[in-house]
Amino acid sequence: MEPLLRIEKLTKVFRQGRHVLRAVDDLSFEINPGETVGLVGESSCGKTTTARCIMGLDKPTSGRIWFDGLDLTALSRRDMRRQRRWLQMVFQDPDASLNPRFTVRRIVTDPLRLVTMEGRGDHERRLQATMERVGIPPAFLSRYPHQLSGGQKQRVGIARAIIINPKFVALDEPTSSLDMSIRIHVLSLLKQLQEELGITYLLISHDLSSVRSLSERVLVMYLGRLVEAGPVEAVFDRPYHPYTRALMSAIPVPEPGLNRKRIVLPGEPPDPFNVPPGCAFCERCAEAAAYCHREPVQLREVQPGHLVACHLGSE
Amino acid sequence: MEAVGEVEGLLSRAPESRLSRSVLLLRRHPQLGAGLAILVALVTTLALAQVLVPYDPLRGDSSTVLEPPSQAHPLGTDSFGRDILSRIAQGAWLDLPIAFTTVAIAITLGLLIGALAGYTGGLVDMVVMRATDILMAFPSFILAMVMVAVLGNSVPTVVIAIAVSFVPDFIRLARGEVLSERELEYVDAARCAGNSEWRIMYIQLLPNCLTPVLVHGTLCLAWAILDVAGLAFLGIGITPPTPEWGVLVSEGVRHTISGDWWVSLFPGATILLAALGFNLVGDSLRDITAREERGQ
Amino acid sequence: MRNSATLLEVVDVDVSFKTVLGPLRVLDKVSLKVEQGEIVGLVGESGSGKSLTGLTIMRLLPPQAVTDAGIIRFRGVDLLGLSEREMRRIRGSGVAMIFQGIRTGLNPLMRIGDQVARVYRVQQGLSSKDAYEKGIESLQQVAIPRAEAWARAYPHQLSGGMCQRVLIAMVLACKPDLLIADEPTTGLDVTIQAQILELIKEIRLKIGASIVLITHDLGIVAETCERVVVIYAGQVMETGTVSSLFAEPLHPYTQSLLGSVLRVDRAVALTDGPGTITEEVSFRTGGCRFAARCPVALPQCWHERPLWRELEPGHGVACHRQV
Repeated sequence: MEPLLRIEKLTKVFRQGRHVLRAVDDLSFEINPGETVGLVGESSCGKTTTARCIMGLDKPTSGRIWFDGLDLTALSRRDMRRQRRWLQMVFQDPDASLNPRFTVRRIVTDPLRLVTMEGRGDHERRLQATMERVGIPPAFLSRYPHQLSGGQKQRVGIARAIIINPKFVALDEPTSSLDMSIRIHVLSLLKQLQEELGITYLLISHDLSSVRSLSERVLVMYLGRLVEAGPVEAVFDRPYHPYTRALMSAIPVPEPGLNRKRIVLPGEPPDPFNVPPGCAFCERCAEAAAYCHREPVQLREVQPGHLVACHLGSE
Repeated sequence: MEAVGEVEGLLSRAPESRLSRSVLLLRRHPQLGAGLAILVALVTTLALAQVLVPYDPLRGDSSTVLEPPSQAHPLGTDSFGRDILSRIAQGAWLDLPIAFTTVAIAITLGLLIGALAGYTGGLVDMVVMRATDILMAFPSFILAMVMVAVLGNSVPTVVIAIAVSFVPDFIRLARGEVLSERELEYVDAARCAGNSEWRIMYIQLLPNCLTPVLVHGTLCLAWAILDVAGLAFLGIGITPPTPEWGVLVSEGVRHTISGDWWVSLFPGATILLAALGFNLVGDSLRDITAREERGQ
Repeated sequence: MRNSATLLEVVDVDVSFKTVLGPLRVLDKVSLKVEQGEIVGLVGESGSGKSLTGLTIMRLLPPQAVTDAGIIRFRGVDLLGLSEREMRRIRGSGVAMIFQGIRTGLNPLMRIGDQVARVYRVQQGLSSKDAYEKGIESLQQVAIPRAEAWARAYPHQLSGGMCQRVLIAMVLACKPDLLIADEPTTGLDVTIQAQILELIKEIRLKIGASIVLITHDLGIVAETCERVVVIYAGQVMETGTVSSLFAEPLHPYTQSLLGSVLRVDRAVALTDGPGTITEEVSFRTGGCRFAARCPVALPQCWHERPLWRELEPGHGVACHRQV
């Protein structure tokens, strides 16, 4: 199957005076049509920057982003705007991502400018159908964002992303600002939309529980690099990389008396402006050997479709 | 206090009527009510005066020179026998429109230039900001004086001169607001929705930057009235015999010494009340919006 | 029935906010107990009043909030009856609180070493030099690497996790009997969250304090706490030991909370459709405030407050369905 999205050696460097921050470093992955891929990692690991590069909100320093056979990085601004028809995004903070002065109707219909061939009647029909899909009653169309609850705001954000039937939607922490009991509803909605509309998702989240329930494959990032990738069950249940293992064990499970062994990582991620030359994780890794600090790591396949970037266990 | 904010957030979601909101606002901010009351009273008095005291503000009458306040001339007459109340009322038709036009021009220019500087950044931003620095280095009143002196005495020059002296403030305000707003996610969302950069800046961003600018505009109305009258008092810009508040004050000054105090006192008091009214309103609006921003 | 080992007892506390539309009861007859040396989870969603409960115990409510009724008995003394001066003595050495906004607890203009030392000076009356050394020691205790160097840093130079550690170091310096930790790990990465939760458990071992952990994360409750208090819209819905409450939730609200929880160790079926669930919380009802969202609400739920029932020792619930 031809992947819908192929990221090739994506690198994004930010400069601050003499300091260089490699937010995303040599990242490659593919997403097949209709699939949900989770992109997980802790803050400032580069997961949001990756999404912003795909969406054309940030310009990659190097690397290519192939979407449906088209290299997005080579497009002019105008051609990119035409491609936005197929790529949309749901943002993290529903308070900041909805314009406070616009009504729900105006917010949701904003992307319709990308489908210019249609008339007013078609737009109205799309709007009604979309609002019904996301479960927002029509009476809310004339409300302003501050009159909505958190879950409703995020539903409006989702409605805006799907109203033009995109092929791909980047979900940037879609549930992190919501109450626990609302999260599952929003995830269920996303799942249902995918089944109905055949959308492909990139789910970016630090909430691994959400990723586990919604995605089929998962990518784990640490300081701009991919450390592990594979099917969800494989990565969550049999993680290879010491970082993934610690990450999984650090998340509390709501079942008392389970007695999981928690690996508490020492220290904090190193200064992203000053990443060690070898494995980025070596300073916090309990199993790190001397060469981990020197030798750069490459991804290798440990199981079909399960990739790990770790010196341990490699020849 | 986030805990408090959370509960209040739940409450504020309930749709509330505009009327009950305004009543509440006035009760919490008596200053705002006082300012509005002064302005309304002033404008209605002056409007009524034109109907009830129908003297020609420009034609003198040698039989009523320098009469103190009386039934026929509630605020007295000046050295040409003209009714002072009529002249003040007529002056309102000049001073208030000038103030509003000046501020409107300053706001428009300030918003357009400030938003452009803040949104594009880089060289444009630097040039604009240094230019405003230079303008701000002059006291605004002196700047306006020089400009009128160069451009000549007329109402449009006064408007332009005062507007230009106000513009730097608005540029800075608008730029600052745009700088903080453009980092918010709705700007990225607008980009994803296919808005051009131009649309994002002026249609999505700018309306969210308006509040502090409009509040500052209200304060500027007060200063504009003072500036127009001040220039006229010094004999620059609007000159006699045009009935303008500053002109009226300056005409009366020499009579005050000889005991005919009403000639300049009443126009002066009018200027004071108008400026005070706008100042009170502007000040309390600033308080209210600052408080809203802190989420209270 | 008062247990001798009960450290804190909150009995029927009412708190209301002054609003335009009259007073609004944001805490409605809140009762809870904290025994000596235990960790109690206070669980609820945003707007449930869980943070307010903490502030009420500390008597740090904002001016628009009033405590109308109730007793907060701490070590046998009713905190609501104390003067502000006496209360100030209780705060810190008696009850300490770590707040949600991490940086708000630290003075941005003071080096962190001085801030921790100040607590020692005020609480234990040490000389400046001794206090500073003690401060460094407690920074080491909370696993801040190179504590001497970091003691000279200002709060903005620290990461969120480090700030939380400094606050915990200050708590250690106070040696309170009760620590109220309000969402201490919100906004932190999970690996850092794990470190902080371990630290909080250590506090209990080191200074023997009881801890009230305010959180919305049921996973944290399950792994950290011994007892749990479930609060919704200012009303306590259910309390119990963690094991009994998770195994057998009695209140429909607790059941819905546990039913909607996502897990990292297995995928949760995402089945129900878009359904608009009400998030509106009704504070103005004489009955059970969960009635509007309750799938099994009875007619009396709307106007009659359910009585508190202890179905088994230590596991109580307020629900008309549980008779």
